[in-house]
Amino acid sequence: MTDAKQRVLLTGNDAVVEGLCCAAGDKRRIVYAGYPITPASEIATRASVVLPKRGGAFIQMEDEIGSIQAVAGAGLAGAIAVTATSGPGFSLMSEGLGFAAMVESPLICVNVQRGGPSTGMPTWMGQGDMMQARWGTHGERPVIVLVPNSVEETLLLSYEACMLSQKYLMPVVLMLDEIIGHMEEPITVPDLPPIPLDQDVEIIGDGHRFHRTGLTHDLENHLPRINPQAEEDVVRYLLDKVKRDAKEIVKYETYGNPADAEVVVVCYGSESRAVKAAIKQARKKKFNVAMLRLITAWPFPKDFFRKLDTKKRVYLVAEVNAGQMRIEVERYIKKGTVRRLNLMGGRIHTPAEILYALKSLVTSH
Amino acid sequence: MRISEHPYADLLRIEMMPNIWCSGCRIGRVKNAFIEAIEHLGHDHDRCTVVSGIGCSSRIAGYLRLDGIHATHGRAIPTALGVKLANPKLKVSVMGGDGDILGIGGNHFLALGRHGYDINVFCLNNFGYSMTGFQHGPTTPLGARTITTSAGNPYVPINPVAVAMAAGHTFVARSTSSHPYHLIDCMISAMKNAGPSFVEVLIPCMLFERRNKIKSLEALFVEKAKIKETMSVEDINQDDFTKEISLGVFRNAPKREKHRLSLVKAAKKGTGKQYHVDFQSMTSGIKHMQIRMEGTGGQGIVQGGKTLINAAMNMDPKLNSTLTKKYGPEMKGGSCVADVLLSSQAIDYPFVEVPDLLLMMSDLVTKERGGEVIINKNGTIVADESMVDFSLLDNFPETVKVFKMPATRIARENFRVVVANNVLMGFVCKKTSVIDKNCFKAAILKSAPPGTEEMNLAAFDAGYEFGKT
Ligand code: SF4
Repeated sequence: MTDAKQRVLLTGNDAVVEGLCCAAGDKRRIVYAGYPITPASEIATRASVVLPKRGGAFIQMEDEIGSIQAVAGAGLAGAIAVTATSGPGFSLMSEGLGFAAMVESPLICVNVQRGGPSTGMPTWMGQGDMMQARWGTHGERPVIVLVPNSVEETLLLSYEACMLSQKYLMPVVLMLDEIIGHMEEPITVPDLPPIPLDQDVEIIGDGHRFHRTGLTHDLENHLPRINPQAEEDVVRYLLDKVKRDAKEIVKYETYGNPADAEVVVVCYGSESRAVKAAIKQARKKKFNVAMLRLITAWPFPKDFFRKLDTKKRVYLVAEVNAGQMRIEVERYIKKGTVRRLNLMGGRIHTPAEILYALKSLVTSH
Repeated sequence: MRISEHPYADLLRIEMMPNIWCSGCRIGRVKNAFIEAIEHLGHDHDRCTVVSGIGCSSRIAGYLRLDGIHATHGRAIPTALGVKLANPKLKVSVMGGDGDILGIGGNHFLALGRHGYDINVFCLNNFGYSMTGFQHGPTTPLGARTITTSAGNPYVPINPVAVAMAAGHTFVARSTSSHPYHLIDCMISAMKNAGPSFVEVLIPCMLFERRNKIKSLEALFVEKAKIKETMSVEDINQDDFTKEISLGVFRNAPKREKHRLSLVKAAKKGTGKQYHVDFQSMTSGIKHMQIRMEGTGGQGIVQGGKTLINAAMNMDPKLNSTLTKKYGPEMKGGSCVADVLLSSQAIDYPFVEVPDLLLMMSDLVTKERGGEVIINKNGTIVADESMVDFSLLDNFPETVKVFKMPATRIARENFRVVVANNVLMGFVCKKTSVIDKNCFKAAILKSAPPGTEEMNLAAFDAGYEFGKT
């Protein structure tokens, strides 16, 4: 990052496109295919202006199913392939995400979460798609889900999503929420090195003449091979991509000292900004509290929780859904107690609300 | 002859043979016609891609030693489009059945005609869902027996050629697997066409024959088909293949593609007058400031927020700031809030808790909250005279400054109501002197739609002048 560079005001939605442009550099082609939906539409608007100018392609598809399939195709042909949507569209993309995982197409799928279910609240935030992002495909597939909490981090994670998708040849989901997508913050666009196309990866048109199928297949030549052993091989191979490297992929932020804290507030996305404000205030009052913010929701930082679970303490999972990531925290916390603080959507907690909850949980004041 | 010595061995995945098709099925013949067409055109095998969906005919992609994707059911066209967009030099073809392309994938088929990309769609029409045992599909003839219409199909079939014509595919043809040379010709012409091409290929399915007691569909095709040089409306509108089948080219008009490309070129050239305002940046000394602008949708509240944050950035580029917005799904009339935070520190919670500056374009938000106006005890309120009920603004300590001003009226009388937000900005700029005038103006220019720059700046000036009184 250079200081001389001017700061620019961007929304989170804008930053998604900027992050991809950093990843593409001058050489790579970005293909954006998407269908309009609030609150993700601005990503398409920016892509439609920016991409054609830099030799990329933008297309507004007929629906979200077409969108995810188009980027799956573009990914197999060597492009930086991206689509963006929100809840209802993300539901329609479920099958395509599974397909992309199966044929090993690197793509980036952005879900700017809004209040759900169904049409829900198009212009208001939600965090109700966390488990859908993990499980919302039939069968099992590897999953990487990144959850930024600022405009700057959206840019960085958009770049990171591109890198991870290319490295593991799989779809990576970038989960914003309406607040992060629409909020404007000044950022300095960093100098990130372009992500080159891996020369060892076969792409369409490079002379390898490969075949990719959504059917269970032979891992060597990708031709259909349908029997229990083939299924065993394929699914294990796919899942192992993320499982094997989970330690490297996992990202989180801590504030305060969770190992020592009496209460650890677990959060992610825009909600984490209220949590951090509340923790700062609480620590001024000498509450022994800390924050853990998930940056990768999936893979989940289970080792972090396992290690932390040495004594009795409270884990307060603050999220804007009925308690989705709480389920995951509970899986790894045996000695401590997991509590929840939920809103169903539309807004995040205020720092005052979180502080109020903390007051009832800490004993040391 | 060994299979590896076959003249088309380079184009076949011999390891996949024998194929899965029934004996008597003619999908293989369509696959061979496709190979013949590619060879005739001399296409580089490494640059040809075949994308298919799910179904008997979609298996063609797996037997061709070309780049191929065997995609999900119905989604061959968008998948192919993605490939084409990633690498426009590739020759991209789609192979699929009637159910795949016209049923589950129908929307993609329509959109391709409109989008106009150079993709060849070969639709093998066997009148039903064969792979799953022959259920009725979009082209199943009226009265035909399938395993889901055992008493006869009660649904009127769609006409693939007519749909392709209506959707705007620039090459549209029909052939059958019983007319291999004709089929090859159609495929060659389709691949030559630079826009979206559609060829309907009638094929027999053994399951359809058996269930409907037809001895040989192949023979029926040969008997009923007429190859024609020119097509009439009646040829397009044929709806019963057991009576007559016109084969040939219904449309070969690549003009639309040229038109599309010319539009793309024209769009690349920009036009318009450039406006510019010089401003000076400095260190503002702002520690933490919370600004809320509220009103109803359509009043430019979000735009106002943008102007505020941009103006602050212009003034002090080192300042941290956030702009968040809350509004309903309706464009007009709903409550609307824009929160701008300015701070020398990192900003965590990005919403206004207690505003230092509250700009009320209307009182809807406050009324929805129950009438309580929250303001810092040293804060400033600027309210639009005609839009805010002043009884809401009575009970403040002396330290709170309250300004009432006619932003909407000034805008309506001198400009247009839509610029009322900028009239208010001008007034705020003069009265609060937190942010410099030119920083504001440059911010307004940044987000004013082309052609409205002058009006928006004049609105700001009018508000500023009013602030002097
Ligand atoms: S079911 Fe019909 S379409 Fe499928 S392979 Fe057999 S004959 Fe061909």
